[in-house]
Amino acid sequence: MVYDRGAILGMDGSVVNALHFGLESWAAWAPDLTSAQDWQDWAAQGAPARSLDGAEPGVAGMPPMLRRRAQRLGRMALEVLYQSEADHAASIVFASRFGEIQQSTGLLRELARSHAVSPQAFSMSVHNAVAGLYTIARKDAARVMALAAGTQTAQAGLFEAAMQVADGAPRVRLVFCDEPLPALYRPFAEPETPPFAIMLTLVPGDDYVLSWQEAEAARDANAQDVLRFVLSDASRVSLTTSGWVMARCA
Amino acid sequence: MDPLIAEIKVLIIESLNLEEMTPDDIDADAPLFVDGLGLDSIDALELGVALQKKYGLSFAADSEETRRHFASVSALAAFVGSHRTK
Repeated sequence: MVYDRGAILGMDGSVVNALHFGLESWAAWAPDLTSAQDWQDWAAQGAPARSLDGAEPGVAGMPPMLRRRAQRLGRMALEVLYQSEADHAASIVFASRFGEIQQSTGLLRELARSHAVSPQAFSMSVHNAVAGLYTIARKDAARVMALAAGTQTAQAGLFEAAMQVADGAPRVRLVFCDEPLPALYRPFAEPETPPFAIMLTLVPGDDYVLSWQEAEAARDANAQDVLRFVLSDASRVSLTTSGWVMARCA
Repeated sequence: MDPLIAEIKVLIIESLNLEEMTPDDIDADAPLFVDGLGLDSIDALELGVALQKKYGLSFAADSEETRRHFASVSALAAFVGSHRTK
């Protein structure tokens, strides 16, 4: 299946109107919300604004010689990935709007200053590097896909994962992560993104459906909006201003 | 101990993010790569850039000679001592 110019197309080119999936589990980590209970409380309190600062997680399960390669964003993603079992059949969809933006910005500054960039930082600034690091450390030969889609990154990640499930994947680990932009870029940013990593494990099933509806969302949903919806008893959440919706199946 | 050896150990720890490691943990005569300290090819490049910046050295990217210089901290110290330009 592919998502092409606003429509979901099956392998035979036919338009697919809805994608159904089950949600096996979720995991999330942020500097100020480190346990599942913290996230449930946050959702129950109406998702109050979160701190933009904070320390990185320990990722205790990862060998230090590999862990040293990851910065805070990567470590948050690794922390949630390590809450799943290594599973070759469970592909990973890594969805992040800006990726390792702190590191990428540092690289650009260094390139301008000295014309010599850190090979280690460069190797980890590739968008799929963190997921790759995880598969190496865990000897988990899962398929990895990395994507970024601006303000529609949450929708794009959900679509990719749900399409893989619809195409027969037994399980898909959908990892969302982002962190605040460096000061240099903040004047151009929409509302600040606090640091977070969220993993949704999709399986075949009928818990949720992605479909297009006449809807009037004021803004595209981010991954935290999606998790908040999952943790609530709301019937649906608008994913995009263009009308894509994630709904609970009755 | 050769002060250059101590300096290079610190450079290795800092440039390669060897968390939780101290200069005393590095055996100056042990292999740096694969065995011994267990560094990999990205570390080799990283260390090359760090040495270039700090001591004004240049290396042939992949020669037998470069491999010899990178064999251990002692070998690196000998090379830096005789070839540094700053």
